[in-house]
Amino acid sequence: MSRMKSLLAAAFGTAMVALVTPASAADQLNLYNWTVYINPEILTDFTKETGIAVNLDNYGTNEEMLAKIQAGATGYDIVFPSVHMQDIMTTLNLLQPAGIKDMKGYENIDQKYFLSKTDTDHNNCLPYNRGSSGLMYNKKLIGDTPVDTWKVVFDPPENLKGKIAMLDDMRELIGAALMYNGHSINSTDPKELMEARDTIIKAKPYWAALLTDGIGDKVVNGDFVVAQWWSGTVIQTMDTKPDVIGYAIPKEGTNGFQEDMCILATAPDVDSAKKFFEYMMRPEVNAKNTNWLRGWSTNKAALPLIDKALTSNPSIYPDDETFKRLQVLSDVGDKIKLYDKVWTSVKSQ
Amino acid sequence: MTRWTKPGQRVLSAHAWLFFLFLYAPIMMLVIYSFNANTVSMMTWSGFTFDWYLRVFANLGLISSDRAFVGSENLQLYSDPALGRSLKSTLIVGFTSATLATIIGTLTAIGLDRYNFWGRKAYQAFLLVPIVIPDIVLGLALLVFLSAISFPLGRISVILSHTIFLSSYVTIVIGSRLAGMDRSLEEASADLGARPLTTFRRVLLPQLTPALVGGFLLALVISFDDLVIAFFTSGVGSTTLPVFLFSAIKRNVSPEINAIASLMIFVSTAIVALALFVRRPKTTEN
Amino acid sequence: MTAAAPPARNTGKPRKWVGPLITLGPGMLMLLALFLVPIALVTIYSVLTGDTYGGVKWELSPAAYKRLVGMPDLEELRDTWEFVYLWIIIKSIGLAAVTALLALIVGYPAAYYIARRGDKQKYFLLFLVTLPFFANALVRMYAWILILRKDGILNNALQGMGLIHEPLQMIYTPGAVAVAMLYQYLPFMVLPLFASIEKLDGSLIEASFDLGARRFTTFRRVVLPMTMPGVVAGLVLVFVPALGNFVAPTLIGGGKDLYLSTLLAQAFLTARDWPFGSAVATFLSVVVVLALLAIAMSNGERKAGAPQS
Repeated sequence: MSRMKSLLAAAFGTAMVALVTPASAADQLNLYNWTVYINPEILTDFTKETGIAVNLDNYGTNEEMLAKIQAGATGYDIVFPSVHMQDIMTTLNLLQPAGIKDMKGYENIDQKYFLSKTDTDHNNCLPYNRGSSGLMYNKKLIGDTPVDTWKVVFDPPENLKGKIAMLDDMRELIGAALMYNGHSINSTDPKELMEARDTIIKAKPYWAALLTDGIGDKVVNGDFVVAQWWSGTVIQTMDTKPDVIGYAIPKEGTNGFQEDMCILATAPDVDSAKKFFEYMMRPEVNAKNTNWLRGWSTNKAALPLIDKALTSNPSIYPDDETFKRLQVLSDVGDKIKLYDKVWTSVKSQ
Repeated sequence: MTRWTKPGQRVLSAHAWLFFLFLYAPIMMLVIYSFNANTVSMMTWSGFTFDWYLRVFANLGLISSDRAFVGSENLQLYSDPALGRSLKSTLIVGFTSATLATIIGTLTAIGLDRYNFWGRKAYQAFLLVPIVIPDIVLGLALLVFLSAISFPLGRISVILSHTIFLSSYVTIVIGSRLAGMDRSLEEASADLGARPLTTFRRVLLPQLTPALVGGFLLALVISFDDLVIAFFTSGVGSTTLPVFLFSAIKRNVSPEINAIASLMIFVSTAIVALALFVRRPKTTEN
Repeated sequence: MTAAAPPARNTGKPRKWVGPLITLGPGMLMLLALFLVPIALVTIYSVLTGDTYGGVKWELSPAAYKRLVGMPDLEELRDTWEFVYLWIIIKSIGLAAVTALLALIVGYPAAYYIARRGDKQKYFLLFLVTLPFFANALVRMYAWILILRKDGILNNALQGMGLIHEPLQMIYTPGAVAVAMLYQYLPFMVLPLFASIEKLDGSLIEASFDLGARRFTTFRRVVLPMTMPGVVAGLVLVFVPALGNFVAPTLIGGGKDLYLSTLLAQAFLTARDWPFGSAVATFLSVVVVLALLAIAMSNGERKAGAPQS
């Protein structure tokens, strides 16, 4: 009887160990991406074609991803940092060049999307998605208030007070205030930052909340009339309620965010990662993903395949004039402490 | 019973009713609304449907996903396939850490009960700290520590992190059982010449079995529940269900979340009921 | 075994330390390696200097604590005292304290009611109280979002009954956070209270009535003091987790206010200022230890002295 028991115990133990050890199969690709930020069909198609299994984990902010990678979350092959985060990670030697110059389809990439300061060769990472952080608004409730300016959130009219939501993201919110005051989104001047802080503190009583998600349905039902949000998710909401939702890029400037696809220095399966890069550079794959993301395609050959509804909307695919309003976040190095100071003040008053 | 005048008793009763209502209303309401067919405005009741649950099952691959569900056309109600993976992670992490915690916690409880040593009371009190300490402090401390020793973040890191505080829970459960236990059987066994290990295996362990199962199930449920510690210590392929749910809730309050939430409530309740069933006072011996 | 003497009781005397080692060893080792060391590490980090992108440099520096307390520090561009973080600490403590007190007010009568039931009912009701605790905490918090939203159940009900015309802003307020945390930790208050109240000696209460005391006086001078250990335990068991609760301020608080928990997350994740985050974490740990000492001391008094009057 007890021999049976020990046998069972051994079997149980072995099963446990087997289950616990992550599958280190050679053909497994581990992606670490923003939540809901890649078309799942693309992944299943990739697996069908190459036989490489794809595992997708998510993060909510650049900083969260950096903290995890720095703390030792080895095992991921590909990450999707924003451009300024890519620069930080390169400085910290967390990335390895993907070598996209040698890959098929490189000529399709629109060179103007290589924004990274550390990737002067345009070889390390693949531009993935571009969008803007502008103002989402409820067309039926906005009235006559002009919505192409940050004034609507920093100095709102009476009827909008308490019905505004802003991004719970340090660089985005402070950046908006900086641009509203006429400064650069990457300013490190203490005076300008203090001014931004005061602008935010003055306006905060009129805001309902600081969020990064769950904003869409609240603008639809009128809880919020104006919200600062990312263009892709705004448009996904707009698709369901085109007569209610509108989107505007403020004239003082806005964050033209961009995420790049990069290979981590500690990537366990570089071959599969490179195959994935080549796959993503195909025009039809890029178009399929971008149509789903509701962003701008970074692939010239894919443009004809993008939804006409997107390309014809100047707020989404900006014309040159609107394009000038976009500023790109870059790393501020040590001066992040100043931003943190402002952020804490803003959040605790 | 003390001598209370009627109004006092009635007030207490009324309060108790309201109290339990307060405790259960949110959960019941959540379960009710998980059957709401309204895809646009989640709070307006527009009919009964099982579809949210069916979507979850389809997502998990338990049923075919070819049928047209309520709200399929609404892109915002995106059914995230990561649900299945996170469920798997939660189960693996839960069972493994609960097993480890039961072993370590039981050993500790026995040691505390049987051996007297300097600092015993202090150690007993100190065991409470992993339970009471705010989970964000523990989670961050573990992250800092694991990063300092370059330990890879993944399922194992979450399992280890859970085992810490789960062990304390188990120790408490087993400890209280040991405190009230009759030692005479063990003494008889020793008198008959049995080695301590044999006594342990064939006398003590069987007596402890209900408490062991109860402790294991308690640890299991608590591991399933944990969000913050898993959030900080998870890595590749180890996103647990609560972590997944947390980001899903922040993202977009989809009615499918109601179904997932209700299922989780049901599972937890079933486990607890099972634990109690196992520990019910037996009519035979002891 | 020699045939001469009767079989000796096998107590394993020569290897007296084996038993304690096997039983207590694993637990202690784990506690040391996976609890004490990490916490100690965090405490050490709090007095080091931060690296630009996270992590620490091994140089001593009081900057983190100076910032926490608000002392002027020219290197951090602080030329006067700034009480931002102290204010956050006060706010967090205040919110946790309010939650604990609410739990006491709501929980005490309920615990009393349950404790005075017959045996079968008692344990069943207790089971009912603890059962929600086993439903996932996140799920229960989420339920409150559904209740408190502007288009949520409470607002819909109030409007349906004609009591209000416009939905109230209930979610994203500190009050909502307190209620959600109250809901979360109520069992932690009821259980210790129940344990204390159950041990009440009914005859003392009867005696008090016999002496002519009215109900409230009896409560104040007999019942309450005798249940004080339960009260203290309950208050602490609600206060401490509430102080460090991360989910409630994030989901229900709306992100507009910083509390200690969200400050911690922000320090480590967003600002990548590990020494400062460590300082906050150390502070929280100290509060926890003090709170546990409070319970221990109150229990100690109980055992040592006669019933207080």
